Amino acid sequence: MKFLDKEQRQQIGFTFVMDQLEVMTPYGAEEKKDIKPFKIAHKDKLLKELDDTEKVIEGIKTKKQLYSEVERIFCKLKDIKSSIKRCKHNEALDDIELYEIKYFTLLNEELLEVFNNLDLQIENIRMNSLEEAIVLLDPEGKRIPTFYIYDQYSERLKEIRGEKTKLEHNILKEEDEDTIIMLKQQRLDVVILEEEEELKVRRELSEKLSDYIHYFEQNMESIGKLDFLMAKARLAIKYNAVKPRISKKMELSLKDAVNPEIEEVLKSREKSFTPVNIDLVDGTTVITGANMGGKSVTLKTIVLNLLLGQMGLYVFAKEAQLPVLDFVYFVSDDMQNISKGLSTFGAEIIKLKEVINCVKTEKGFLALDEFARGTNPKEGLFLVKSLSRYLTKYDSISLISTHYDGVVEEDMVHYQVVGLKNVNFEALKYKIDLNKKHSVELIQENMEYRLERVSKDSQVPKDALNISILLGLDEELVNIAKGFYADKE
Amino acid sequence: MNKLDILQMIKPYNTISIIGMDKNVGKTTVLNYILEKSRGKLKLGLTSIGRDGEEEDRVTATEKPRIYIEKGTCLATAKQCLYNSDITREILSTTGIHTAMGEVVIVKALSDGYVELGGPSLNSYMIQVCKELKGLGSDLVIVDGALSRKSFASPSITEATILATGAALSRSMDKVVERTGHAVKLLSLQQEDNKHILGLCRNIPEAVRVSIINKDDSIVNLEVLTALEAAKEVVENLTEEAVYVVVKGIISDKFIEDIMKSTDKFKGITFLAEDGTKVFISGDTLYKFERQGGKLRVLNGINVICVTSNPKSPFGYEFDKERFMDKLRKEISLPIIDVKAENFR
Repeated sequence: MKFLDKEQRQQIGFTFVMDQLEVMTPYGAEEKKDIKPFKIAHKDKLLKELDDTEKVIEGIKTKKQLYSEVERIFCKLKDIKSSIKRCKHNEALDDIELYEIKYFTLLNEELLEVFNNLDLQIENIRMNSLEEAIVLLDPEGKRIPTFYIYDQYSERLKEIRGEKTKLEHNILKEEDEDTIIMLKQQRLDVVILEEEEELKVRRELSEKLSDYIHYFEQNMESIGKLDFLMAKARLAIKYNAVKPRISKKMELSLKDAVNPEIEEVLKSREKSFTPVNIDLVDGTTVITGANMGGKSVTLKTIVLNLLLGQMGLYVFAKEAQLPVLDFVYFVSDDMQNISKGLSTFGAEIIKLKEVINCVKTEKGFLALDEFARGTNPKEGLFLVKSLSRYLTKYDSISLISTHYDGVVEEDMVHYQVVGLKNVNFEALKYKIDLNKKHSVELIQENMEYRLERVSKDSQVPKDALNISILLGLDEELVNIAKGFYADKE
Repeated sequence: MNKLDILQMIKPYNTISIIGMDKNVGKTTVLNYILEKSRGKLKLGLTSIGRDGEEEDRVTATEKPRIYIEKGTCLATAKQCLYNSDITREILSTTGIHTAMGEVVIVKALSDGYVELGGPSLNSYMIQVCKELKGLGSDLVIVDGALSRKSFASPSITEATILATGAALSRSMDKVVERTGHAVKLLSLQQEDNKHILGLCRNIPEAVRVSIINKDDSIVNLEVLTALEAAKEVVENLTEEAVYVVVKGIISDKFIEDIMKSTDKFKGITFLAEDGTKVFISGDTLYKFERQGGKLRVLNGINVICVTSNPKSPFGYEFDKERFMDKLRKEISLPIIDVKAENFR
C-alpha cells in the first residue's frame, strides 16, 4: 500500500475523518468509496478537485437555503443504477423498477430547478431534464410518485382488467361453491392474460426509456460528484480546514495543523491539542525530543494531513503547502506484524525494504517513528544514522523521529520537541510532591509539545531523567543515573 | 350459534397481529376470515412477520388457504412475494427494508386477488411498516405473525393479538387445550408496571443478553452469549441486593430449572422477559418457580383478545367441534371463535 494500509489509516486518524465525511446519496457513497490519492500524473485533476471544493464551500456559505434544499432532495434519492443497467441491456423492467425510475425522475426535476440556481460551473457536473421520461411513466399527468402499469398504456390491458373486475364481482355474489371454483378458474385465466399484456407494456416502456439512458447516467454521476463535494465542503467548514497550496517543488509546510481524532479524545479529557508547525523539504528531517513529548502524535498529524491533501481534501491547518506525491509511507512499531510471527524490528526492516524500493524510483513522503527502537541502542543508533544519511540524497521527503543522540548531520534539518526545557523544574517538582496522585497529568500539563527548529548539534534533552525525578523515582537510583550523565559529559 | 363478532372485537385497534400455535392450525384461515368480514367495512393494511401464505406447506403438503384481499387494501410485502400475487397493483413506495425475499414494498391493490405476504422480521422495521400502512389511511393494520423461537419481530408491537390454535397441534384434544391454555398464559404474562425499572431496561445496551438490576438501580450486565446458557452466571451474580433479572432472548425450562437447582436467591426477584413469545417454559416449571417465590414478568405486554380454534387437522383427523370449543372455553377465559364453523369462503 503506497498510501498506508487500512490499519495504518485507522491509526493516523484518517478513518475517523472519512467517517465524518457524510454523503447522502448512494451515488455519493460510491464516489467516497473510490477516493484515492491523485498522484503526480494527475496533478491537474487534484488542483481542479480542490478548486471545485472551494466553489462548493463558497456556495454553501452564500446560498445556504439552496444547498439545504439540495440536501433535502438528496436524502430521498434511491439507487437505480442496476435498473438503469438492465434497461440499457434491453431487459424488461418490472413495475417496482419502473416505480423507482419514476420516483427518481420526479426528484430529478425538483433537483434540477435548485441546481440551476446554484450556478456551480463545475465541469463533469451536469444535470439533464428527464421530463420526457416522466411523460412516459406518468400517463395520467398527476406527477405523484406512485406507479402502476396504467390502463392508458394499452387498450387491450384495459379490456382484460375490466373482465377481471367483472369476474371478481361475480365471485363475491355467487353462493354455489362449485360455481365459485369455476369462476376462480376463469379469473386465473384472465390474470394470465393480464400478466402477458403487462409484460408487453413493460417491454415497450423499457425500450422507450433506453433512449434516455445516457441522461440518467450523467445525472447519477453528477449527483454523486456534487454529493461528495458537498460532504467535503461541510467537513472543511466544520473544522475550519484550509485549501492546501499545491507546490511544484518538494516542499511541505504546515501551519497549526491538527489531528481531529486526537483532538476529540483530548477534548473529552478537557485537554487541548497543540497544533503542529513544520516545514519540510526533500532529504532528511529529524525530530528529537523528550519522552511523553508527543512525537508520534506530531508524525500522525503530518501524515494525516498530507494524505488528505493528496486525495483532494482540505487540510486541518491554518495554512498548508503540499507537493503532489506518488507515495506516503509511515513506518512505526505500532504496526508490528504479529500474525507473521515477526518481531517489531523484523517487521520494520521488511517494511523499510519496500519503502526504499519506492524511494529509489519515485517521489514521495516517508515518516519513520522511532525507527529501530526495539533493537539494542548501539546498533539502533547506527541504523538510524545510516538511514538518515542514505535518505538525504533522494528526492523524497523523509521525516524521522528518534530518541538517539547524534543522528543529525550537516545536510539535515533538525526539529526538537520543546518538552520541559522552559519549565521551572523545582517549582514543578514541588507541585508534584504536594499532589502525588496527579503527577502524570501535571507533567503533561507542563509539557510543551511544540516543535522548534534547532541546530544540528542540539543535544537530545535529558527529559527522561527529569521525568523520572518528577515521577518520584528512588533518590539513590536517580543519583547513580546522574553520575553516569556526568561521566559522559 | 357463534355470536361473537370478531370484527367488533378488532375494530377498536389500530394494529392487530395474528399468531398461530403451530404451522397448520389455520392461521391463514383466520386472516382470510377477518378479510372476508371486513369487506366493504374496514380499509385494511396488511403485512406479515417473515414470510407466509405459501401455496403448500412443504412438510405436510397440504393446501393452505391463500389470502384473498379486497381492492383498495394496502400491503407491505417483499418483492418476491409480490411476484407471486395476482392483484393488479400500484407501487406506492419502497421501504429500504431488505428481506430474504427481497425489499419490502408498499403497494395498493387495484383489484381483488390473491396475495402472498412477506414483511420485515425485525421489530423496529415492523413498527415503521405498520406506521406507513396506517398513514396510507388504513383503518386497521393486520400483522400476520409467528410464534416461534426463530422469529425476532414480536406481536407486542401491535395493540392486540389473536392466537390461532387447532387440532393440528396434537392428536389428543386435551393436549391441544392444555398447550393452548399455557400459551395464552405465557403470552399474557403481566407487564412490569414499575416505569422506572422499564426505563432502566431500555438503557441496557443492545448486545447485552442478561442483566441484574440491584436495589440501588445499579445494573450488572452479564457476559453471556445467549440467555439460554446464562443460568450459571446469573446464579453467581445474584446477591441480596438484586431485585430484577432482565433476560433478552429465550427464557427456557433449563434456564429456570438450573437457577432453582443451585440457589434460593431467586425468591422475591422478578425475572423480566422481553415479551411472552420469548418464554418457553412448561406449566410445571412455571408453577414450581412461582410457588417458590420467583416472579416472571415482561417488558412488553401482549394483549391477547381472543383465541380461534380449528377442529380440523390437515393430518387427517378431526375433533368434535363442540367438545373442543367447550374444553377451550373452560381452560381459557378469553373469547373462543371457531372460524371454520362460520360459513365463509
